[in-house]
Amino acid sequence: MSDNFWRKVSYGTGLLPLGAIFGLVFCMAQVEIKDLDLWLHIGVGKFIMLHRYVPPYDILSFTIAGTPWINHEWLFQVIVYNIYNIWGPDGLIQMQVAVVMLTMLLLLFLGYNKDKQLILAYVLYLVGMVYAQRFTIRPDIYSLFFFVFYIFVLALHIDKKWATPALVIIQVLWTNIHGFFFFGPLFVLIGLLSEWIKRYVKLPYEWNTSGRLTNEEFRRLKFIFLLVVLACLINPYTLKGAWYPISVFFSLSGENKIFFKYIQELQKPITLQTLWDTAQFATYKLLIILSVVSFIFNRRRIDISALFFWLVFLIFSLQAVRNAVFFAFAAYLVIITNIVNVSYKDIVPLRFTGKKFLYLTSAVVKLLFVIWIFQLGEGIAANGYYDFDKYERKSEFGGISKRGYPSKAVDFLVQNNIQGNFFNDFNSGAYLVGHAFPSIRVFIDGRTEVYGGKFFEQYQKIWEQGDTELFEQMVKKHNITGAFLNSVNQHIPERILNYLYAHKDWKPVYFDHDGVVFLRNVPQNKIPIDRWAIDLSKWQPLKLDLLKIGSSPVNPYQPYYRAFTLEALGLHEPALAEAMEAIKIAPGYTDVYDLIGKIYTERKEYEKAFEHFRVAAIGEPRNQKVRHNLALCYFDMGAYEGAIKQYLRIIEMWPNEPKAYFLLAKVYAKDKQYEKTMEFLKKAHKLSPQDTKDVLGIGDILYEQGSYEKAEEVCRLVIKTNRDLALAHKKLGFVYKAMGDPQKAAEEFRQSLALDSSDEEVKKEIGQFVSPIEK
Amino acid sequence: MSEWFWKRLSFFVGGAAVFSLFWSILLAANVEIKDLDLWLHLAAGRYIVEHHHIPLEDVFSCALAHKPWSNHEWLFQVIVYFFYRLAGFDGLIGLQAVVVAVTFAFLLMLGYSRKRQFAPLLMLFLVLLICQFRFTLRPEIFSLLFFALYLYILAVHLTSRWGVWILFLVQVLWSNIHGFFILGPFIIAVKVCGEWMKRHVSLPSQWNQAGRLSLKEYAWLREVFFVVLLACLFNPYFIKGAWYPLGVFFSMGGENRIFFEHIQELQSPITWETLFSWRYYPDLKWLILLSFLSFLWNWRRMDIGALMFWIVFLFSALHAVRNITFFAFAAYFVFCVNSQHVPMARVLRLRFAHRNYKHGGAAALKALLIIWMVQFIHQNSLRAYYDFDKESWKSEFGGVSLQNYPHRAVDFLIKNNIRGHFFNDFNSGAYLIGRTFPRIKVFIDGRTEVYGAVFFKRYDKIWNGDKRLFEEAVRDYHLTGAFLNSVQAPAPGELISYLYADKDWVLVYFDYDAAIFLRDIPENKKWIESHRVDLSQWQTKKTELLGLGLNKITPSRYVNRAYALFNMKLYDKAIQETEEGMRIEPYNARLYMLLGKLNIENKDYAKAFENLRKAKLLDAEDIWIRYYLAFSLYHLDEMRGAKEQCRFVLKKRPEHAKALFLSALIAAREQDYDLYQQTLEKAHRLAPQSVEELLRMGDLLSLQREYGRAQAVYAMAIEADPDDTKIKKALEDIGLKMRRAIP
Repeated sequence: MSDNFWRKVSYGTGLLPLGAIFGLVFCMAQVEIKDLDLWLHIGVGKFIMLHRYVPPYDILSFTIAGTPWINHEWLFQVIVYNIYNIWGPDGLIQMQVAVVMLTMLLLLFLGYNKDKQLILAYVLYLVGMVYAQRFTIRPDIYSLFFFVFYIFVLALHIDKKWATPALVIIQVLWTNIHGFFFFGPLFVLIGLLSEWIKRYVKLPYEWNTSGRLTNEEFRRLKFIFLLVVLACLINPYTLKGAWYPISVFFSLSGENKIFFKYIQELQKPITLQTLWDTAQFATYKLLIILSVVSFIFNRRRIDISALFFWLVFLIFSLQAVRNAVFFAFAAYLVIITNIVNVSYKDIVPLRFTGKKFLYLTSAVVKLLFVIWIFQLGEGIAANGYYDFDKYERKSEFGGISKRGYPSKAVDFLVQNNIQGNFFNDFNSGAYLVGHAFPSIRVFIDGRTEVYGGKFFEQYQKIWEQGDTELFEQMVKKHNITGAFLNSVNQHIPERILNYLYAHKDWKPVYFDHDGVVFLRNVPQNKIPIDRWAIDLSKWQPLKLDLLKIGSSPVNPYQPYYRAFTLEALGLHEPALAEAMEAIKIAPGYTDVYDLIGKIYTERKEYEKAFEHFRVAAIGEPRNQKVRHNLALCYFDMGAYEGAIKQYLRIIEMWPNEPKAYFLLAKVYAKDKQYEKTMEFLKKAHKLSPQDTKDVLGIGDILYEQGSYEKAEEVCRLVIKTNRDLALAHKKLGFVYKAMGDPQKAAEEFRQSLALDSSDEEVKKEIGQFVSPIEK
Repeated sequence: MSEWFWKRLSFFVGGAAVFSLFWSILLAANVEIKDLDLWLHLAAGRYIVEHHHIPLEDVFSCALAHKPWSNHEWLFQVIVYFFYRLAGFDGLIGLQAVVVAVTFAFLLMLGYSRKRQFAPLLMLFLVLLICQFRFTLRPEIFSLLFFALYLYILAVHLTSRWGVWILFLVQVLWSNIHGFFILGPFIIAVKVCGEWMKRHVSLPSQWNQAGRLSLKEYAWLREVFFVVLLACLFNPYFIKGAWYPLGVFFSMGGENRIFFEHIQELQSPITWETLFSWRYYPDLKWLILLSFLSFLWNWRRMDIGALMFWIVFLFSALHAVRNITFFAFAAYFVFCVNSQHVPMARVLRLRFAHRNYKHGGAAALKALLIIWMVQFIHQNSLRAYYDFDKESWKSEFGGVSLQNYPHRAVDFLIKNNIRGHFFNDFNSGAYLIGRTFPRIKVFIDGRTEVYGAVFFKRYDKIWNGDKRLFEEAVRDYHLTGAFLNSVQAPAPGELISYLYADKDWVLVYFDYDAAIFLRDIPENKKWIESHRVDLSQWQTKKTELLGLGLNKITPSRYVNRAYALFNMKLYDKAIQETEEGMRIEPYNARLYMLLGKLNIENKDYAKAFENLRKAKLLDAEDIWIRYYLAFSLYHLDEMRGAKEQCRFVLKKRPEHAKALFLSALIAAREQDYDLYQQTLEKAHRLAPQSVEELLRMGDLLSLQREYGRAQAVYAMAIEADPDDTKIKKALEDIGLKMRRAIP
């Protein structure tokens, strides 16, 4: 068989991995509906269709009612509402599939090269895997499509007549679909800047000529820039709408920084701690490496527009997880651009003895790649979880997520026609809007830019920190009549939960794995309260029919979530009962053992607690929380050696977490190993200098044990970094007093009083010292 | 950097790989003493040294009593006894390590050269991975040493004079150390055969010339064959001793086949079910593949002798696990022979752009090999298990195994100077001999060829609860004690519960490793009085969890005791042990299975399902868990689930009698009588003594008014146990019902 035959075989087999990748992406795009904000979009879309206008003010929330609202996604909302209305959730999924496949097709057309099939397929696969992480029905998927469309047109078809009108139309659509529309003009600007540099700045190697546009193309590009900028004005808010993303961008460094701390998709994908961790964002990191390597191999003929493009989106993606896909597309573009000029001979010093062996090997590698993709696809297709209501397995593909939304809790509100202003958590806001508006108005939802950083901070104070005073103010101010505490996406924070549960004005009317609903005891809630009020202390676990569940592995998330909430309320017996139900279903579910351990710790049954923490830690040795609980249990049992061992192990695994250092110092202090105490306390303080409470707490232990020199050292440590901490001076005063040095003690008390003049205890101490000295 | 630099670098990295390989070998060979039969060898060695003669009749067993015994391993026994006397167990481990290291040294010399480092080292490492599980101190390791030495001399020093003398000496030693000595002449015979074919048969390609000996070498080889054959006669039994391995070989097809079913090392490593699974013997499969490929690459110049050699040993390896080591050596040998004639370029069709890359690439490959070996060393060095007595971890390297022997039980016998004729299980026989002979004479030990298949069948029946045979054995062999070892598997329920309930037998020792019963006769009176164990007062020993820390520990002692107590129908005590075991390891599938079995005994099938379900989630491959799960599902009327579980069991073990009975029961329940009949016949053929299953079947059929079928089933049951009153009554009832049913 001739070389030509094997070449054709190689080309033919090269199409198979591409087909397999498309098949894989097609399947993965069928992921169930689980986006939190989708329901808000559907709700607003419905409003727009019914009322025939885009609301310029907020109508969904009672906290920002009437606030001007630039709804930059109105067109997306109309699209999704209509699709949902006609074809239901499957229609939305198919919409996602269509958009994703179009995007992938454009990428393929952008980069396909018969002679570089393997590398193209591999990079496309990596891009697909990064892309798959954002397969949720939200305006971003359109942004990604428009993003690739822009690249496609500007890279390959800038000379075509249809290019300009196409880009303008896309820009108009983009402006009314998603806030990232400014990328459009940004691309063109990068292109223009690069062209100008190529013409007027001396660059190394052949960079001045690489990818350079003709004069006509350059002129056309300038014209396109103008048009797409103008296209941004075609939105309901004209200039305000066009300016909108820029204003959001500038507000990010101000009070809106808080969002980056709390919202997962706004957190950085790579930090110093996770840089070498191959379990986190591996494909994203690989794309960075491959794109860098492609620049190195093509260093003589780099197209600086590709380089700028890559740099901009690399920086962009390093700021937030949600931007990783944009970088993936940018990396794809630069890799395919760079490899055009690079042969494998430049990279690999191996030569085949005959061309046919090259083609044959290439064909074999492509086939192996296909097999690998199939195996991966098989594994992914099996993803699913158990639907405890229908007693069947629900695939993660198709339909609506059963685990992503507090659906039962919201159904309860809707079915019982409960109305009012509800305090809710951030994650459930959109779902409540989508299903219960206008009967229920929310406290907060996903529109971070509308609520603003300051409001979000207040919300965090109530939700995370349990600021009950602030909560009461909000209740009065906004006439809040209900509280919807969702536990499907996160555990309900203890403080707010216990506050509402203990409060005589608030009654729990709904409790399940997905949340707790409280109603305020006001006349409009009398009927539902009378009918649905629950006494959670008498809660009986919902028994599951194990025969129906069968003997397949099932994640007992429902009883576990219920157990967690009950434990947070201090209702140990019902919590234990639910936990036992969870273990019945899945004896290897380590989170439950951790929870049971916590319960026994609260009951001071430390041996039993240890038994369960031990099991949890054996099951999940890399779970930091579990390790901490176990270490604390050792400590509570007085088994200091065990506690020390655990904390040392925690420090080994998470060397930059200050908590373990503090707690280890505490254990050493209790065990009277003072040198070690100081060693680890200093390390802890270095990692977290603002954490003075824990440091002073250890100082108290040393003081109680009579180790005054060490206690002094501890107080001095705090004062060194926190001069103005009255408490530190006060404690130091007591230490000096115990050491029999009244002068120093008095000095420290005076300093404390100077910083906090309301401290009566300090005043009393000063009084005691002054009298003898004066005498 | 010049080519010289890269070349030297590649060579030195290759040297480092050799070092890593031998480090791996020494680590693997330092495995703790865990061979079951070693103790018998030590006892025999001691006997020979003390009495200055090799016993021609058995002296260890009360059941053999002066039966002629061809002790073909006497020299090994003397050697190990001497080493043991000289340096204790460490000395034995040292001997083991030296023998293994020297064996691999010979193999290395066969294929290694400056220019060919990587391929032989890779193959040898694969050989190590396969053989490491056979590195226990037994005569076989000497067979492997001699095997390697034979290959080396025949390949490299065939015509040297001293080569013949070495082979002669080795053959003499081999004939007195292990029954596989016949391999020596066999290897030469294969080579002679190959040479004959090259000369007298027209072979394809260049096979007639490949590896062909000169006339002088051929003649020399034939002489060597006769010399080593003569050497086989140098043993205490002369011709009988020389004939011995052939005699055993020819008896394997007949009644001795029973050993292949019961002894793990005589089972096939690869079956049709496991052929394409990389979970089972992956290294062996790789070796088969690579050695096969070496023939393909060297197709034109294949040595027919090497091919025959490979085929024969592959065939033997596929029949028994214990033979895979010999195949591994054979595969390595043929690979080295074939690869001599095959340049890398022909295999990979690749060449480097520059010689520097070639040497650099070679160095990189060897470095990867070193990394693999280091990982192997690291992983293996961590292998350990928990010592509940010392509350610390015992490494699997060095010392004597705490997991393989019922050492506490035997310590009890020795400490109390107990004597007599003991019924014991197959696995503990050698250990008992090694530690308690001559005070205690065993019923059976690992010398299968001496006991024979008939006796073994009888022993197997007794072990599985045949009371009549047991009583006969008590009479025939004057048994005064019973030692039921449970260190590796629980003692069978029927036997242990029989002994526990029988007034003639008294339990004097009970723990995780064994149960010891003494017959209530005057000789045993004093021990019975001082050590009688009343299990109704049994208290479970609590383990201090704080001391265990986070280590994942298998509570094997609690599992073993729990099963033993369950088998003795002491269910409350079994639950106590189970609960304590679960405190240590809640993820233990066997404990959940035991709880499930307990629930089944109490007919609480819902709870049984709950526990067996958990067991299955923790260990989905255990067929017994699946079986009991099927059983509980059957009783909960979940036929579909029950069938699914039975199907799983039968797919893995098509001759699982209990699963077949259950399947028949399900078929009967669903009134699919054709399937029922088919399945029942198969089940009954496999286990004709399963009276309980037959009764259950008969009762169901009777309920379904299938009186004819019920009667047939009861008839099968009565045939198995003619004295069973329950069956007799059932037959009577069914007869009555049938008469009433006739119009």
